[in-house]
Amino acid sequence: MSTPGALSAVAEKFKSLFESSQATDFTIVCDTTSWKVHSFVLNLYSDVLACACDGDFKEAAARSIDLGVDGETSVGALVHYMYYFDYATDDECHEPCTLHVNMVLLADKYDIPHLLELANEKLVDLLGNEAIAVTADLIAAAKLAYDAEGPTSIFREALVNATIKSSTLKPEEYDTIIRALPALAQDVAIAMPKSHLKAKEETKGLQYCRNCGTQVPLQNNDAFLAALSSTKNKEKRAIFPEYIRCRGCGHEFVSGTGSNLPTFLNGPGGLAMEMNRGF
Amino acid sequence: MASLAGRGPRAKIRPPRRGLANNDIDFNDTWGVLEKAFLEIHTKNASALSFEELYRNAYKIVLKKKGDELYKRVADFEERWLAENVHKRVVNLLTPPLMMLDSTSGRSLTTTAEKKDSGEKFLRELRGAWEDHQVCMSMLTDVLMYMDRVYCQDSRQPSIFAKSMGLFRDQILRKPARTEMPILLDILTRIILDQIRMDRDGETIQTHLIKANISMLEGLYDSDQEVEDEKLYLTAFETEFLATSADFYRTEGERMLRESDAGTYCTHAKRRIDEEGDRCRSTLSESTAPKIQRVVEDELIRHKMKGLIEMDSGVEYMVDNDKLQELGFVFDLEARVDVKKTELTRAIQKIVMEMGANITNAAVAASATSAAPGTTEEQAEDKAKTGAAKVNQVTVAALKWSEDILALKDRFDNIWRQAFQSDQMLQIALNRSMADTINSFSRSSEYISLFIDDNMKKGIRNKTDAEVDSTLEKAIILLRYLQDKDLFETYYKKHLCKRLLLNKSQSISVEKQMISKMKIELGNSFTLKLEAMFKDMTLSEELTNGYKSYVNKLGDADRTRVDLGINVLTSMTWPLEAFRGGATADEDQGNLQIIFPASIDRVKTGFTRFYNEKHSGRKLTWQTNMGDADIKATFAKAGKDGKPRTHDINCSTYAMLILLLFNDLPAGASLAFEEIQAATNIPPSDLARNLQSLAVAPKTRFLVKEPMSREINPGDRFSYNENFKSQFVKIKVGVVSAGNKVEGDRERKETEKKNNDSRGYVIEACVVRIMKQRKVLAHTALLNETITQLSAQFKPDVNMIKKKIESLIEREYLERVDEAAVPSYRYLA
Repeated sequence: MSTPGALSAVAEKFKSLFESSQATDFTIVCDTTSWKVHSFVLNLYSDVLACACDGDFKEAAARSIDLGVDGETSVGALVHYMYYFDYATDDECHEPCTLHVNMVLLADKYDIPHLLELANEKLVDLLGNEAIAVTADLIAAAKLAYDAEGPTSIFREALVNATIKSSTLKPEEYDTIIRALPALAQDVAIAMPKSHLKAKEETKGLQYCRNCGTQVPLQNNDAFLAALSSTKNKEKRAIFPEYIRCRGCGHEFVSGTGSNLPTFLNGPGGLAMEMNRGF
Repeated sequence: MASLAGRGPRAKIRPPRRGLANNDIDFNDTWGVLEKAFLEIHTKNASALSFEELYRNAYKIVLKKKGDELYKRVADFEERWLAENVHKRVVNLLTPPLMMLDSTSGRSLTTTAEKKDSGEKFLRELRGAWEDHQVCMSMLTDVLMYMDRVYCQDSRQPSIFAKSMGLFRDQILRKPARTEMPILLDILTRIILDQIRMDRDGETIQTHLIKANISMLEGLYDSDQEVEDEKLYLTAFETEFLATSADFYRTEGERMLRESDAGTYCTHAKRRIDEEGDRCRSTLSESTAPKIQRVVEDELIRHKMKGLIEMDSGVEYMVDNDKLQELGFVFDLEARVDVKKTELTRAIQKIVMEMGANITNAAVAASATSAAPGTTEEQAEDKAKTGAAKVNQVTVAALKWSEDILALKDRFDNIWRQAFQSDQMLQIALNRSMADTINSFSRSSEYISLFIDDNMKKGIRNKTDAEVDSTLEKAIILLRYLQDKDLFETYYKKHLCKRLLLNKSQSISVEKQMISKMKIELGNSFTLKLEAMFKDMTLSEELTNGYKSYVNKLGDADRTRVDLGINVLTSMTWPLEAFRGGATADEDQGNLQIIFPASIDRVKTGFTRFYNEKHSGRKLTWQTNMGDADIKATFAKAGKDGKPRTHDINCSTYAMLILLLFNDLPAGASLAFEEIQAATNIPPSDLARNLQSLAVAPKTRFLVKEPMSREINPGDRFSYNENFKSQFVKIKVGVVSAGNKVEGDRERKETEKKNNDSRGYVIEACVVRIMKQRKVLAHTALLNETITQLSAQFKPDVNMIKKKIESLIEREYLERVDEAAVPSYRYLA
């Protein structure tokens, strides 16, 4: 049993404790800025920071830790996350990619799994499903990610996919990023053949039924679409042209994405949701 | 104060993080920083170190995929530190007294105090080393957290902490103390064992020091796999500890058995077991407690129980001296190791059997010694007296036997309750040995019946109901153990018969109570005949009253008419032979017709007529030998001044008949023995006995015998004693041998023979019953079945069963089955 109210009340209390600096017993210093925090909260999030608070090192005696090396922006975001359960969103931030990658690195360094997840989600959202728009921020973030390797694998993978997509759609952007990031170029080169094969099959109009594995020609969907009512038919065709019914088992699905038709048919709301996920 | 990243627009793009700006971190530099810090940590100078800096450095190394290198360096560092610093420090405390331990432990030249002292020093140092190591390693673990999380998990390495614990084991415990010496772990084990031995010997030791070292062993594993069952404590210490303890307690147990008494031994053993449990809690590991207690139990109890019980001051001594508490200790000890309490049970059974045999032997001896003078010829003239005395003495022996057996049972019941916690195993054993004791004595049935008889006649006088009840209960207890219940029934019937007819019983209701108790204990069929006897008594009372009113109704109120009280007894239920007492076997009383004087004969025929009117077709046999009579006799000179005086005389029917003869005799005349015999037709032996009472016994000498002597011989003459005097109005003529006494050998043989005869019938009936049901049955099965069915009544003799089967075959009730694999019988319908 849990009372949902209690949880949100605690969340509120976290914020107010932070904003009023009440009962704080530890300080995080970063260059010119410092944050008064609760060692208890640090304990909640990170075993590493907990060691700093309670270990036998000088930080524990001084009740303060200098995280200057992690950068003021990132540490600020980290502190914000610990009390507000989130950190700055895209439109509040001038260099969102760099910030997110930095958060991924911080989360990994200080062992804060939920923050790691959150930052990765934000990065993937930022890249979107479309071809990338190369900015100084993105390149800086990508450099950071390639420097750190291990913890940033999700971002790097998403970046490689996006890059491949833009190779045909936005050749100039592609050119820029490949030149800027040799490591990325390697990854793209490795991933390209696989991606190419997939694309080739799609152009041939061949799909594989996700249900029974039968190869289904793309044009097959015309007969199926004709069976639908004309208005809906048009609507759907307009939104999503690649939409298939399997000859073998009758399973219906949308080409190239992970969504099955039944959800698709649930209505415009369902459709929108599917579209959002299918980056 | 709080300023958050990303809040509001920023004027400039912040520089990227400094930390990873420089891609090529120099491993050696970074490691140098870490190593220096680790050294500080190990020398307890950590307070000035920055956690952030150290963590960051380790993090960077791992992030740059140098985790394995870092791991190795740390492990090397620890290994070096342990080998070069810690090991040396610990080994330095291995002072000579400690090194003497390995040579025969008892005979070292050093004193215990020295040994204890240096042992403690060593233990303290090792504990210090261990604790330091743990503290340092937990700090290192903090710093190397990123390595543990990322590198160790990815490459499946044990955490640096676990690794360093293994290093401690290898570098400290598994290294020889010095060259040519055992490894430190062995020395440690020996020192701890030595300290424990001192503790057992009563010295005060520093338990916390040992405990700390033990927890170290518990925290370490035999291999780096950290298998739970392979803790160093278990593999290196515990087995050694258990083995040493076993040796110690074996020696101690043997010494204690030699030097102290059993009671002390028990208390000591119990204390030792508790001590070992406590020691495990305070000094060693809780998990060892059951194991070491088992070792102590084995050495001090299981292997020594027999010796302990058989000690001079063992169980027998305890029982003899009522050492209930110590018996309780013995019980507790054995109960710990053996649910069946085998040894104690055996010992107790033996004691019960011995004590029981003593009681039986005493009873046999008592009857034998008293019998001896009766047979010697010099005392032939005292035969009557000593004979009676002898019978009495045997009776007393019988009563004593019963009382003693009951006392024995009470005593062991008490021990059982107080010392043996009412344990079921022991109860069974006690019951079995009691039963064996009672049944091994061939006269127990008779003795038990006599015991009841005595209580019915005298014992229950002036007793409350509760007391009476407990007396009866005792009798039932004895009865419960008895095997030959049919024999007991015979005796009981005989004794009951006499009590009822001679009015010896104190209370008929108590008699009935007894019967109902037996009914509960032994079943309905057992008491059927006994109950019939009571029924006869009630019916007879009614008959007597009925006859009285019948006579009154006749109208001829003859005042001189003799009153008649009568007991009509069903001949099958009453053991009338009981009254034949001294009669010789060749005298056939049934055919003897007693000659009654006219006045008596009139009553007799009157009653016969009355009875026949009520119940036709029944035959009355007059058992005059069992009756008694109240007569008024007037003696000429019995009064104070020689005046005539009338006495109420109570005597047997035979005595009455004899006395009546003298009524008609002229004064001074006499009758010879033979004449009396001819006139009354009383059997000679009974006649002799009655005459003895009437003419020899001083208080009831109504007749004068010529010649005057103790014995009645043929040819003696009797005359009326005119000079009889007595100060009592009522005189009771003692009836010789009317009471219930122990049987003579001849009687006993007869009873046994009769009993065997009746057993024969019971066995035949039983065999036929079984065969009728089963039709065909194997010989052994038939035997077993018969024995089982009859066990409630008696323990049948196998030979007798065989004979009876044989006889049944002869009489064509059964036939042998020829073709059967095992000898079998078939029932012939």
